[in-house]
Amino acid sequence: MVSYTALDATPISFSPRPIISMADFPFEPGSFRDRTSRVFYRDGTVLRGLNAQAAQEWEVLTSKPFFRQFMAAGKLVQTGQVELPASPPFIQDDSWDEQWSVVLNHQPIPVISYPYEWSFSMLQDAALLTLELQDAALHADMTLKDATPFNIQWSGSQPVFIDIPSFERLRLGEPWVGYRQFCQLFLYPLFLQAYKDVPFQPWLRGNLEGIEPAQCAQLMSFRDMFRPGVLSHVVLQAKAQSSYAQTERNLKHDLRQAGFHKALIQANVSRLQKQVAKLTWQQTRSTWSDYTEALPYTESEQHHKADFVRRITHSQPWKLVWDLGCNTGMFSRIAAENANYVLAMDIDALVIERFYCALKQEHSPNILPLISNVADPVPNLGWRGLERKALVERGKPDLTLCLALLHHVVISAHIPLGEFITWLASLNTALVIEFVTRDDPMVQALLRHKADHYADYDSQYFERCLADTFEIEQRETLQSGTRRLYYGRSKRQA
Amino acid sequence: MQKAAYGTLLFLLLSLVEPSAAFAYLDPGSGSMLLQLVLGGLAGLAVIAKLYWHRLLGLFGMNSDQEQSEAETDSASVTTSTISEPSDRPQQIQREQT
Repeated sequence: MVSYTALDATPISFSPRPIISMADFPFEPGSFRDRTSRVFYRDGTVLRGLNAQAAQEWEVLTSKPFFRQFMAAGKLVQTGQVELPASPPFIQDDSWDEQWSVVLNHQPIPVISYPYEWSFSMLQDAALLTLELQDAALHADMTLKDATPFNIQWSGSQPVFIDIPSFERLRLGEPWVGYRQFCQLFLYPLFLQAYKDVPFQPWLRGNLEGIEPAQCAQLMSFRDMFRPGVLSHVVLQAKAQSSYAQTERNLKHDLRQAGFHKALIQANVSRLQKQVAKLTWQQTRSTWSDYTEALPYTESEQHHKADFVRRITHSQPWKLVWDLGCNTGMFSRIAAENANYVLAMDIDALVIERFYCALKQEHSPNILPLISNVADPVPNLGWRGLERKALVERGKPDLTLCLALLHHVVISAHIPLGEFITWLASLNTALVIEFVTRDDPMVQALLRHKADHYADYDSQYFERCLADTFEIEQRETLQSGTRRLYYGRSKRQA
Repeated sequence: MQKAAYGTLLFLLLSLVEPSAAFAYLDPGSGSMLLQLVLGGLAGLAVIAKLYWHRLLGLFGMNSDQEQSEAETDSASVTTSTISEPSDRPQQIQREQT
């Protein structure tokens, strides 16, 4: 057995029974595609069972210097091997009679996120990490057997590869099996945004397998044929796919016989690294990108608001803070001073893109920016609706910031005010919320060209709704008199 | 220029080999596998040439196991830790994992 442990792992005590049924452990329902391993949980730890085949690959992987180097750099999830009782089989997976030879212990990711919540540069950096790992693996005669952004998670602004059993020994004469998947889930979405200025997030949310070569080829114009990577990775791949979809030949055998070797994969990976690194999304303005330059309130009011938020966030340590409608992330940063982790969410992709790039420069360890629409949150997706989860199931906040947001939720997104407050209360969270009165120029601008059907957007009704579900502990009015700040604790929480 | 060369290569590849008849097992990754010959740059050229040489020999009933074993020993990428016999391993399924 491999005795290598990189994670500072106290041996996890399994029950003394020689065979432990997997029915005793909650499985990760999204971990089913790779039949050689499976993720499960125990007392807040993330464990992964490996069958005999995957255990062999793990043993080879731990002997490779690149594995330790990438883990030390924080690019691979911290992973150790759990000490199991002697005399295998240790653990029986009742669902398909599998026996795990080895159990790994992974450092938990603060909050799981998905590529349809990431901005352009986040997907680009995840793609570059995948290629960097594939390159390092190839040099060590290993390969990544898949290439999906769902294998990448974030620790603040650092992308982390989490699927350790993806590494396996390179088989002689075999092409990169994950190449097509890399194109569908990384390259084509990035092309879509960089070359066509079309957001990739709705597509990835709509199809977990990504964009098919033929679909991507349909989107490309004659002009696009001259852009790097389009002819080879999109058009020719689509053509090759349709030409060979029904071939009877054993192409793997043919390629091996003709002497296909890893230098070809390396050449492809190397070119992909250059092409992906050069991609840029050149949008410079969006609805919300210039918000702070045209702030509807004065500098002293901004200080007042920041002081209020700082007072609350410093009043106690917080595990997870949600900042809904974070814009430049000013309040996320304040929250991050005294919180383990902050999810900074905004509906605007360019706003999140800019915030991520700033956080990346600073190597921020505990703020994760995500594209998120409170009026249309990411739902449960995939097999049984359990494979990819809704945000609330991936980490409920103990503090939520909801600043300069409510008037957009009610007047722009038509969400009844009472329902929104009830939803916030259902999170069992403490809440900092701002109410902008009808006299404020921002609210007047929202109502200017609309019939005012929003009788519920009323300061007294708001206070009543808030008091129904939250213990209001603090309230302050900014100098202008049109903006009020509240701090409350969920009555359920209390 | 380089791009044009790759394009020509692939069209050459597509035109040389006739896709075989339908009603066969659908393998959506076949085209992507072949494309990797072209994306392999210069190293891919030699493999493409060899691929068609084998097919040509096959047409005349001259393709043999001897050729296959030569191809394997010629490969520069073989090391002790590289698996050389894929036939006994289960087919990989493209997957994603959390």
